[in-house]
Formats: sequence, C-alpha cells, structure tokens
Amino acid sequence: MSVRLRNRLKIYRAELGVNQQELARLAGVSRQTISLIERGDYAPSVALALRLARICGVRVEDVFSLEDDEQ
Amino acid sequence: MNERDLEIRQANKKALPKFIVTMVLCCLGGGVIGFLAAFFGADRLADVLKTAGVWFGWHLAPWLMAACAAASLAVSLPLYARARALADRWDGEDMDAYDRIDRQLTRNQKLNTFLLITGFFLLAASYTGSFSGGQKELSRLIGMAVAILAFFVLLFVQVRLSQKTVDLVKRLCPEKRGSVYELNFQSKWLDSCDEAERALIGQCAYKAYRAVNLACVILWGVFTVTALFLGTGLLPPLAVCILWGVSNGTYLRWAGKLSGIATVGGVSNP
Repeated sequence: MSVRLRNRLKIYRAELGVNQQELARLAGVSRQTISLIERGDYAPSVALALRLARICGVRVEDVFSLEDDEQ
Repeated sequence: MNERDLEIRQANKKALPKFIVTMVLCCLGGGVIGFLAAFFGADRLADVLKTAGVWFGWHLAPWLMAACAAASLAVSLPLYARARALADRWDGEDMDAYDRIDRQLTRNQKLNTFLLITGFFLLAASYTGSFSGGQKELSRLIGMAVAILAFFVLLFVQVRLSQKTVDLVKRLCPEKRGSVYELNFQSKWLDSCDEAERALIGQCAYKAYRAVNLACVILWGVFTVTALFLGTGLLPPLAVCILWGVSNGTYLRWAGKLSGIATVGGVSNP
C-alpha cells in the first residue's frame, strides 16, 4: 500500500536558516535523506518525522500531512 | 469457508491456468530442444566446444585480461578523477551538482564491477587454456604470465579505486563509517546508513535475490542439458544448486530472525 505524503520541510528549514547538511546532522540522518524527504521521494518513519518537527519547533502535522487530508 | 478463504481460493484459481500453460510450454520446449540435440548429434559438439574453450583460454583470454586492466587504468581512473573534481567544486548546497557526482561515481562503480568479474572469468579461462593437455609450450606460459600480471594490475586498481571512492563519499557524507581495508567494512558501512538508505539497500537486495533465483533456474537447466550431451559432468549443476541454496537459505534465515523486530523505516512513496 502506498502512502502519499505532503511536507513543508523545505519551508520550515528555510525559516530555521539551516542547510540540508546541518538539518541532517541535527536529525541524525544523512543529507540525502533530507533531500529525499523534501522532494517527496521518501516518507520518514514516525520517529524521524517527530524529530524533524521538534527541530523546526512546530507540530508534526504542520510539517507532514496526508494527501487526502489536504484535499 | 469464510470470505477471506474464498478470496484466496479464487485468486489461485484465476492464476492457475496461465501457470499450467507456462509449465506445459516450457516442458514442450525442453523436449523439442533435447530431441533436436540428439537428432543432430549434439554430443559431437563436446569435442568442438572443448577445443574452442582451450583455444580461447590460450590465445584470447590473457590479452582480454590485459585489455580489462588497461581499461581500468584508462577509463575508470579518469572517471573517478572527474567525480573528484566535481566534488572539489561542490559548495555543499547545490543538490543537482551532488546528483551529478553521485551519477558519475555510480557509473564508475558499474564499470569496475563488470571489469572485476570479467577478470575473474578470464583468469580461470587462461588457466584452462594454458594447462590443458599438460603441454608446457612457451606461448602458453607467456599467455599465463600475461594473464596473472594483468589480473594483479586489475585487482590493485580496483582496490585503490574502491578506497578512493569510499573516501570521497565519506567526505561528502560525514556520517559514513568504515575503511575498505577493514574486514567488517560492509557491516560498518551499513550501520552508518540511515533508514532511507537501508530501505533502498533492502529493495535493491531483494531485486538481486530474485534475479539470482531466476538465473539459477536457467543455469541449472542449461548445465543439466550440457551434462547429458556435452559431458560437462556433475560439477556445474552442483555449483548452481549450492549457490541457489545459499541464497535462499540466507534469505529465509534472516526473514525469520528479523520478523520479530519492529521496523523503523516508513512507507516509501512510489
């Protein structure tokens, strides 16, 4: 079963003023993973999504949402 | 019978006719090939093929090996150098530039893998050609020496290139760990991969596993026929079955071990 996720990670990262490498370091993942998530090519695990939301200082639902919810 | 059992039965019933037709066609095809091989005296091919194999190993294999070593020096090294130059110019932000570096390194890795595997085959072919019949003519010994020297050159270039490539990737991705010279390099590298990279590795590994299974079936068929008509003996089908068993055994063992562990990765978007 595929899951379509929308994310605003790039927007929040820009607000935070960090590049992908720095965000990856803070989240404990690789820069490629951040790039894949921002492009919508990879849906992160719950743990990673929560970590990213915490780093951005917002709720996880503000960063990630299901496509159906958006529609 | 509940609804789910009925669904399962119906799915099997739907797929079964096509499966049976495929099996019957394969059996008929095998039977026709076998009949034609016997009718046209394929067993006489055994001597022809053996002579061709010895000739290939004696005259061609050593020089092809030298060509592989030369290709490794003349093509792989410049490809790596190009990737290195791109990496030196990378500002750490431009994702398109990073993708270009990654593509360059992947292209090089494909070429090196092909050259290395070909090198192993050509070395074995050179041994076969040089020492078959027990004759020690000078040209055979020269061929063998060329093959061994070229193989060592190829091996040295491959190992050095692997080390340089890994070091370059570690420079671009600081979280990566492991040195190619460590015996447990692959474990250390995997441990330093995050969830997305492990998901990718898992998908690639599964596709490789399926390809190996298919290749084993085909090779078993080919070697069984060649054992019958060309006298290649029991060793080839035995080797294939061992590889097949190792592949499936490893998969099933780890599937059992890991099925009790909660997965960390999320569901990927297609």
